[in-house]
Amino acid sequence: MSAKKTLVLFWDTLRSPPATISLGVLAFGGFVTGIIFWGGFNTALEVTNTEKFCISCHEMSDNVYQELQETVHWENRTGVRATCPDCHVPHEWTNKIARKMQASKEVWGKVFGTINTREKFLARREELARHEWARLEANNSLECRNCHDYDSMDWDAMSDEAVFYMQPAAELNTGCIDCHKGIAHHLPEPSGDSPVIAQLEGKAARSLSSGEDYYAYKPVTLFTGADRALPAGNLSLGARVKVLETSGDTVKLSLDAWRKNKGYGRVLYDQFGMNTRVAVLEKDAAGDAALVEAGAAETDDNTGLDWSPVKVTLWADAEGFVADAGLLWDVASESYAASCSGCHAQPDPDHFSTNAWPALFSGMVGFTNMDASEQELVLTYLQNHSSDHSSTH
Amino acid sequence: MPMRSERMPAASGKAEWLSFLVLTLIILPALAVLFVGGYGFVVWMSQIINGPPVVDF
Repeated sequence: MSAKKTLVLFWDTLRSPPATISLGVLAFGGFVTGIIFWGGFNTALEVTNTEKFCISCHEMSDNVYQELQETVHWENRTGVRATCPDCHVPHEWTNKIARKMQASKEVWGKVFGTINTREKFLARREELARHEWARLEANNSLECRNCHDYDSMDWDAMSDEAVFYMQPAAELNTGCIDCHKGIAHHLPEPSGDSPVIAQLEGKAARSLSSGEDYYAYKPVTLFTGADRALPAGNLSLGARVKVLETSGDTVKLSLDAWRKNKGYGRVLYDQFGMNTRVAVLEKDAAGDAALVEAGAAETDDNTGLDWSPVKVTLWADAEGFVADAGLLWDVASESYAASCSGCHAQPDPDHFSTNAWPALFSGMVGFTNMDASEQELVLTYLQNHSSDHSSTH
Repeated sequence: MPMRSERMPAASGKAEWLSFLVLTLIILPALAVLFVGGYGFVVWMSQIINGPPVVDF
């Protein structure tokens, strides 16, 4: 019989009332196979939701599973322990099925050996960790809270230090992962690339045009000449420069700033009397009148310091600038809100003055996970949106 | 429906059993898995676009 004939016969048989099988047998057969299917489906779902299944890949058993065994989620006084799926697979049905489908990507990774060596795993660990953090931040640490509950915490049984941090978090209903990253596996090694800078990388100006203003989005090294042989200093994040000439990937730029007429005048500030740093120059460059042109000094009555306006002309790599400062402030304000609201309602940037922000910021930043570049960007954002720059305060 | 009875006068018992077993043991389970898998896939894609699911406590 040809395949087509078989199909036609099959279809015709399905469309006709049964002639030889009784209704009872059909109903019973359908019922029983339905039960078997449903049971099999659930069993498959459960088998793929066990730790044994997760660590059947050496990628998991040699890396993250070993790290888990050093932590309290593996062994503790109560004898309750968390297995991989407890934290990493959503318990709610829809999201669980979506996660199971997502695992097709893991099968792909297994087949093509995406992280099949320790080196490859370490290189991607930050990316993998960020996926999990984003997931737990979005669902307010749901998988942690399947076991842990603020309402069930016995404050008297906690150390004073634990209560000091935990009670305000409970009042704000802060998600566990906001503070407890790296609690069950090692934290990723800092890759050197700040994630905040990486976020801005895609928005960097592709080519710079003469006469336009640009803003440094990462630390930019300045040079004394177009050959870029002798370093002259560094631009701070958010520093505004005017591009004078471009040739290849080298750009000649000028910077209008102020300096305090004290010491070598190496640190340049955005405006008169405002401690918003825009650049730090090498000693030799700072004293070179051909590079740094200073105007008449003015005295700041608050501090008694003399400030001079300076026009600095230097060279730099054309990479590292954005055309719109708003791009920087968007990223910075997001980071400010995310990092600071974990413990308290963050004040509006214009709640404090430009010169008050550095001390306030450095007093608090130790409680956050901001890296050095992120700190610099956020502080610059706060100073540029302080009460000195706002009409509402 | 006279058309059908003309084309296929009487189904044999063998063809009926075979069709029944193929349908209940192979086709319908495969469709069910495809359907659930497809649903999971659509949810996954929506999570890529809208970000991971948000839960408020």
